[in-house]
Amino acid sequence: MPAPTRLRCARCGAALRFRKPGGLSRSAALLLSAAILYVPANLLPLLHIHVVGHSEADTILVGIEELFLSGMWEVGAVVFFASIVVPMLKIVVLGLLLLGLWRRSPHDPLPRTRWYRLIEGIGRWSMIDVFVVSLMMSLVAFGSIASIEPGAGATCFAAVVVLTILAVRSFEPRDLWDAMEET
Amino acid sequence: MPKGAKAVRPRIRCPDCDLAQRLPLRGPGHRLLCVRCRRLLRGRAPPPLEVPLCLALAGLWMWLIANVTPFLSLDYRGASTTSYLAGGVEALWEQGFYLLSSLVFFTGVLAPLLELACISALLILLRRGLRTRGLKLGLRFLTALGPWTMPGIFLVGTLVAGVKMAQMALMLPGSGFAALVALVVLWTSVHATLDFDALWELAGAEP
Repeated sequence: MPAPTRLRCARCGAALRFRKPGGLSRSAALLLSAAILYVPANLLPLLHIHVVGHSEADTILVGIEELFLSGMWEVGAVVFFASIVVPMLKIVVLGLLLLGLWRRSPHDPLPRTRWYRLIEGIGRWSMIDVFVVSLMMSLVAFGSIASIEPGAGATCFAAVVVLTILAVRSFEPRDLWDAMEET
Repeated sequence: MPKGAKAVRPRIRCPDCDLAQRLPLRGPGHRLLCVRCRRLLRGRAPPPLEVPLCLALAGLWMWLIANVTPFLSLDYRGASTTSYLAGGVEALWEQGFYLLSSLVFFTGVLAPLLELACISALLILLRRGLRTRGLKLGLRFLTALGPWTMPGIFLVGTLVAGVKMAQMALMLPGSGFAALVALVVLWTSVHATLDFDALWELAGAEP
């Protein structure tokens, strides 16, 4: 019997796969990298602002605090949600999903699938802070009021956003339903 | 394309829970959900292709205006600075943050353009009844672009940055900013009126 060549989808020609490639380890590796980088992303400054008279290095949390202190709590809440809540939620939820699959613990797949859909949908909103950094830089590029430089935290944070998006994309929700089909 | 019941009621596997099921005929205004995990399998019957095409072409025009005309101006004690949408990309690059610059450029500037251009080209070809291999490549390209187009999030980022800067100076949105708002609305509308499954069916199912 001849060995089968790669099967292709009759409609779009993409290679057919039983499941998303990489298995748990790909998603776990991306998630772990993101979780490790999450620490410097929050500890290192996002921006260095040099105004005439003083300089400040603002981390994500300091930036949020400043927004609240200036009375713009709505904006502060948006940034808090996008830069603190969303990445943390993605890391924790995906971590628990992966842990549950790895330990093969019996579970109801439906709520877990819903959690997966949630983190899949909100992932890119964390990019807000990255765009804020880039826009603030463009506005003070001529150095008339102040000069702004991105801090090391900016690259770390952008990496966390990208890695978590990739980690969630490489997670295969069908794995959650395998245990059900085996019984 | 095979005719008969099998084409009208295809059997698929749910992408979320893997359950094999046969899709029923879709009534007007009806959506099809997976019987087990309720994932959306087929949305409501989409509007005719002219609708997303016009929206996409308008979106492309807005993209051009948003990038070419002044985006935000800053007035500080009489001295005024004008920046363009991609100004941050340039500034980040000049400071040596090449990866960050590329990321912002790709997600905020390039991806929306590529997506709208690709959608427009595909819709124009499909309306004329031209079926080429390029159609399938185009659709696969769009699937790959997926989560990386984020003009709406760029807009929210602009608003946050604008509010932060408004503490120090007078902020004046330019025509580029208005065009970005229009772009986000149009881009969202394109996605709301476009059904990818219908596009795949139109693109033909020859192996």
